[in-house]
Formats: sequence, C-alpha cells, structure tokens
Amino acid sequence: MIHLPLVGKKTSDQNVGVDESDALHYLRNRIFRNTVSDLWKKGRLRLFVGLFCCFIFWVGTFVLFWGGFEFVETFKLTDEIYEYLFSLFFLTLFFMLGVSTGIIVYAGLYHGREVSWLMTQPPREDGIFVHKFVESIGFAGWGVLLLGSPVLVAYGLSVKAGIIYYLAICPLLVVFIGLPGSLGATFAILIGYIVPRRPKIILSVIGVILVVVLGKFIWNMVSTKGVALTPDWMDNLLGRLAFSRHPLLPSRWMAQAVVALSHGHHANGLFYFFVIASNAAMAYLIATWVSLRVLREGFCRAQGERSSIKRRQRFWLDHFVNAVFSLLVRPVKLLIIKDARCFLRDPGQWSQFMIFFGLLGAYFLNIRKFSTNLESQVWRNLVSYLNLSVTALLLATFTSRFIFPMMSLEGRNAWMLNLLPVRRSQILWGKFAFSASLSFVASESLLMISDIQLGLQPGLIAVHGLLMAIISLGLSAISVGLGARLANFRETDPSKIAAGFGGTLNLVVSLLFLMITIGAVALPCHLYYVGLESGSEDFKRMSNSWNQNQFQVWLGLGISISIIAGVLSVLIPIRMGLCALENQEF
Amino acid sequence: MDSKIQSIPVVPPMIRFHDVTKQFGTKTAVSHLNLEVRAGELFAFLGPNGAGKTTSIKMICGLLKPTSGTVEIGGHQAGSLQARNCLAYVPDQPFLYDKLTGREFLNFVTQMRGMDKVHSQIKIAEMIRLFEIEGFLDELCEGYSQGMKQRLVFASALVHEPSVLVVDEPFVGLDPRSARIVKQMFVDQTRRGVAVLMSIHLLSIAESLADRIGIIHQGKMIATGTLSELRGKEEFNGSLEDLFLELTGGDELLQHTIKNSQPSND
Repeated sequence: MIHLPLVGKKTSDQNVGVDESDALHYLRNRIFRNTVSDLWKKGRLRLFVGLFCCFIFWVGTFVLFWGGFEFVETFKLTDEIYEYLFSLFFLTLFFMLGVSTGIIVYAGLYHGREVSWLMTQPPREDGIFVHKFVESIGFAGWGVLLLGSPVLVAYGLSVKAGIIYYLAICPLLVVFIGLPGSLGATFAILIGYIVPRRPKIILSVIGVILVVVLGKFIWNMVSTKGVALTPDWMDNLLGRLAFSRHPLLPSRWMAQAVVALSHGHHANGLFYFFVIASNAAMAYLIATWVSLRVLREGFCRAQGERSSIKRRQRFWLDHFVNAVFSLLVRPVKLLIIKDARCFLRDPGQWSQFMIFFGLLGAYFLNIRKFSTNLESQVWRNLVSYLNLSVTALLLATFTSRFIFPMMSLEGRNAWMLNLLPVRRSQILWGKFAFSASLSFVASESLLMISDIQLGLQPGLIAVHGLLMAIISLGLSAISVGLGARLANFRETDPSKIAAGFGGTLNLVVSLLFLMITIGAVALPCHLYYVGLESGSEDFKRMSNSWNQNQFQVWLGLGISISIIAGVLSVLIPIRMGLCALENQEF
Repeated sequence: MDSKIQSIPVVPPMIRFHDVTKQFGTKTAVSHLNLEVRAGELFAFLGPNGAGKTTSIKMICGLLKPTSGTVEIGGHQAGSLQARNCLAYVPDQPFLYDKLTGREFLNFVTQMRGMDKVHSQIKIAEMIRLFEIEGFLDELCEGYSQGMKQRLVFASALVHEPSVLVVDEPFVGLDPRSARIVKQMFVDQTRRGVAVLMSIHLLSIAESLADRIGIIHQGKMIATGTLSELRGKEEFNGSLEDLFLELTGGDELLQHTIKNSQPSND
C-alpha cells in the first residue's frame, strides 16, 4: 500500500512516539486486505468479471491504437507529429485527472463522515489529507493506467521500442498521475476554504470553463482550412495545436519522455521523467502544506454551511409529470415527481448533463460549417451515424452515472417505501419511466437537429428516430434493472456506486448493447451508400450488387436485430431487477 | 488558616465556554454561551431539537469554530492537538470502518493515540471486558448492529484514558443491558476524574446520572445547576421533564395540541 510522507517535521506539540501516518498506513493496509479477502470469499464471480472487463477493455484499446499507429507509420511521420499527438493526449488526461481528483478530494475531506471523526483524533491535518489523497488518486488514477498503458504499449510496438521503454511506462504514468492529482487536490482544499458556501457553483463554473476551452479546441480542429490529410491541411492543423507543445506543460514533458524512450534516447527520456517526478513531488508538498494550514479552518467553514434557501413547491413539475405519465398509477407518478425534484435540486447532476448535451447541440446546429464534404452521401450518412453514436454514448454515460445508483440510494429509504401503498415493482417501473422519458426527449431532440442539419432523407431520419427510441428504452432498462440487481445499499455517494463493480459492468453492458443496435443498422446503410459512390473497393465488392429492394431487405433485417436487442435489453435487466427487488431484505 | 485555604486544590475546568456565539449566516445557533465542566463532573446537556446542543459539542471537538468567544479543553484551545489528545468524542451516529474488524479498529485507535504495544493490549483487553464485545470483535464492523457499534465506539473512545468525554445521545440503539453498562461506565469515569459532557433527550437518565444539568433553548443557556438548584431557582417541585417543558415552552405547546385534538363536547 502507498505510504506517502508528510510535509516538514513534526512540531514540538506532537506527542513523542506518536506516528499517526503509520496508524493511517495500517488502516489502509487492513482495509485493502480485508476488502480483497472478502471479495475473494464472497464475490469471486464479481472479481473475475471485473478483471475480465478490464482485460477486454485493455486489449480492445491496444488493438485499436496499434492499428492506428501502424496506419500512421505508413505515412512515415516525424517524431514531432507523435509529440503533438501525445501532448494532446496527455493534456486531456491532465485536465480530466485534475478535475476528477479535485472533486473526489473535496467530497472526501469536507463532506465525509470519516474526516469528521478523524478531525477529533490526534492526526495532523496534512496526515488526514494524505490519507484521503491516496484514496482519491487511486479512484481517479486507475483509469489512466488502464487507458494509458495499452496506448503506450501499442506505440512502442509500432516504433519497435526497446525493453527499457516498456519498463518505464508504468512509472511514467504513475508520476504523471501525481501531478494533476496534487494540483486538483490543492484547488479543492482552497475552494472549501475560500468559498465553503457555494462550492457546487464554483465547480460548475470551472466545469463550464473547461468545456468552453475544449469546445474552442474542437472548433479549431474541425475548422482547419484545406483538404483533409494534405500537407497544407496538416500544417494548418499543427499550427492550431501549437499551444499543446508549450514547454511548461507537463503533457509536453510526458510526450517528450515517451518519444525519447521509445527511440532509445534513455538519458533524454530519464531527464523528462525526473522533471515530471520532481514537479509532481513539489505539487504534492504544496498540497500537504496547504492542507496543514487551511484544512481545519476550511472543514469548520464547510460544516457551518447550511442551506437557507426556501424551496418553493414546483407545481408546474407536478402538472407536467401528471400529464406526461397520465397512464401510470398515482403512487408511481409521485415517485417520479420525487426523483425529478431531487434531480433538479442537485446542480452537480444536471449541470454535467446540460453541458455535454448543450455542447453536442451547438455542434449539431453548426455541423454544416464544420465540413465541406457533406455533399457526398457517404460522408453525410457516416457523419449522421457518428453523431447518433456520440449521442448514444453520452446517454450511456449518463444512465450509468445517474440512473444506475438510483436504486442503491433508494435502499436507504426502503423502510418508508415498504410502508407506502406501492408494490416494489412499481418503484422500479417508475424509475424506468423517469429515465426513459428524460433520455428519449434529450437524445431525440439532438438527433433530429443533427439529421435535419445534414439534410437526410425523411426515411432515414425515421430510422434514426426509431433507433434512438430503442436506445433510450434499452439503456434506461439496463441501468434501472442492473441498478436493482447489483444494488449497493451501504454506499451513500452515487459517484462511488457508479465507479464500483456494478456501475462498471452496467457501462460495459450498455456499450455492448449500443454496438449491436447501432452496428446492425449502420452497417447496411454505409455499405449501400459506398456502393452507390466510388468508395473503397472492398466495400464495393460487398455491396455493389445491392439494388434498392435488397438494401431495404438488409436494412429491415438490421432494424429487426436492433428491435430484438432493444426488447431483450428491456425485458432481461428489468426482470432481473424485479426478482432482486422482490427478494431483497432491507 | 491562610495556609489551609491555599492547600485546597482548585479544580480547573476541563471544558470551558467563554461567551461563545456561533452563527450560520444570519442564523444564531449558539448565543453568548458560558459554561464550565470540571474534572469528575457529569454534565447533562438538555434542550429541544435545534436548540444548539450539537453545535456546542462540535465546537468542543474542534469541528466548528466559534464566531466569537473561546472554547477550551483542559486549558487548551478546542481543536488544538493538546485538546484532541485529552478528548474522547462519541457522536450520535457512531463512525466505524466497515472493512475493519472491531479488534483492528481498536488497534488502529491505540496506534493513532501513540500508545505503546504492551499498554495498548492491556487497555484493549480491559475495554473488551468492560463493554462485553469479545463475541463479535473479530468480525467485520459492517455486520454489527447499532448496539454493537455503539459499544465498540465507546471502547475506542476510552481506550486512551481521556480526561474529557463528550457524548451525543449515548443511549440510542442500546438494549437495557448495554445501557446499564454505559451508565456504569459514566459513573466510573467521573469517579476517575474524567469530565463528562452528555447531550441527552432521556430526561430520566439525566436526572439519575448527572451532577449538573444545563438546559439550552434557542441557542441560549436558560438554566444550569443541580436538579435541586434548578427546582429552587424556578420554584418548581415537579419532575425534570415537567421542569424542562416549563422552561422551553414545550408544555404550553403540548397542552394546546392536546386541547385541540380532543373531541368537542358540544
């Protein structure tokens, strides 16, 4: 287990022989061992499924990136281009890690019961911070290892890197994780200290700023002048991405370390490795120093935070839900109103939803400005399915993050729900109706904007609409059903429920469902349009014999597969959820 | 004579609130609170819900800072390391690590308190006997009932021999036998010279255990003293429950509610 040092020496007011960092290390060690042993004894299947999912993800990412790097290698790209690619990749990871670690550290330090208890015990404030920081960076950073390692291994194979490169991958990623993690944690402590009463608004503003910067970056990328993949276009694109290679950005250091080590320039690679490590160590020391000085004061301020805002009754919401769900029985409608009210009163939930759907909406509305190739039916069809896929992926993330934990969180109120005149199955169906309707309205609206802007034929728009309806129903059912089947009634933090085994499995199942439903319809459409125009010879061979009727048969078959997948994805998880809920003892 | 007076030891207050006010925005949770609890004294802190009891306790533990005034524990500012070293706090909702066994939790607490191994094992064995927790001590805490958790939390709070014990609603979830053990523990601790501050709603227990009682209402300490002193001050001969309702206005409200709920004779 990780045993990180504290900043400075013990002060004179500390007890002689007291080493609370040893005690906290003992605590983490015992919790880790007991958790693994408990999992091995009681949840071996869970453990293996989790490991298997990670393995599949790792292999899938590796294959994808290996293919990509091999393709890129055919252009005989210079190291400079690779540095651009890795600088961008690590810059994105840097921001994501900083924000996610910051959020987890904030929640753990200022709103956790554990810290409230530890604050009454002897550990110093920086010791408490380090204890929570190790936990947070573990939560936020394991994904970077899972995503980063296959990418770097694939790159190493494509450029035939030596053994030192492969040995350096893991230490490189670990020290890199420490830098944004420490910065995010420092920021989180300071937010709690400076603005204890409005942390959610501050975090939302930061989120919006990051998304705007990201949006601007994407805009710059897609609006690059020139014909794609020509030297002029590439020059223009690299000019727009020059900011990512700023010599003071840690992402640039990572990119240079990776490229240098892959080519056997070990001294240069090690230099950048130590630059990152020393900066990460410095950022960590700053974080512990800040925590030592302001954590207790910030904690006291955050504890004093009270919501004094009087909440008005939202009668319009009641009327709206009653009208939309008029066929449902009244208790279920009341449960939906309750869920909608809780959702609206938590800006942490809907702000993320709004930001990403808003960005997609803005992109879809301006889609014609982004590309000059939309006269081609092949491209138009391709872009329309890419847009549909992006919307569906976003929806899958939304249902995994927000809908999946709902049944677990409801478990805390089980005593009350059990006494209400509603059947347990009605609670489940209520959640399904809430999720499906919200998902349906948001995703269909986006998709219609995209399809209309692309000028698709009405028939194809109808097919997309049907597909998105199936996806909304399917994803909602998967999240609600698996949420009930794999409920975690002990955890109170929805983000931890979503990040746990059940949430991960839910996301994997959702992605498989999307692959089947979208793939079954997208493939015949793509092959048909490629056959119409002079596209790839391989595709033409597959589809050039299709006439309009044969295409309709294949499309009908694809739609049928999607409908069957949709029906199964509703029936199976909901049935599993119902059985689990009926047999659940609270 | 003078030398005799000088030899009488002056017991310093172990918990001291000096003109403490705590505000949350515009709401005053505690207003100009002055209170002293001395070594060997059991002080029962009474008050209706939202009166400021938990806020006051959190200030003792250093979880909240007063807006004005000072809170001292054993002569040290609340929240300082010295104050935390002599303090034990048992919250109304006990915190335990689900994935630790009870024994591991006690080991962790003794390590954190800097106790040497031999002494900590002796104290842990003593706590195990005192709170009768041997039967479940090697199971994970996630499987404990509320009463088991409460007994383990008491054991962990007392294992380092604190000089100040602060407890918030100590009898929630305890069966009669466990409640008896905890009551006896309070008596033993005060005999040993520990200052105990207990927030409680069970007035009969406060009546039987407390050396002094303080009643807080709307953030203000409206009465302090022994039960007889309170009765004397208020010229009241009823039970503590009647006195409490009288002082906090709950009695009038109760009578009003009862009157309104009775069917009319007309």
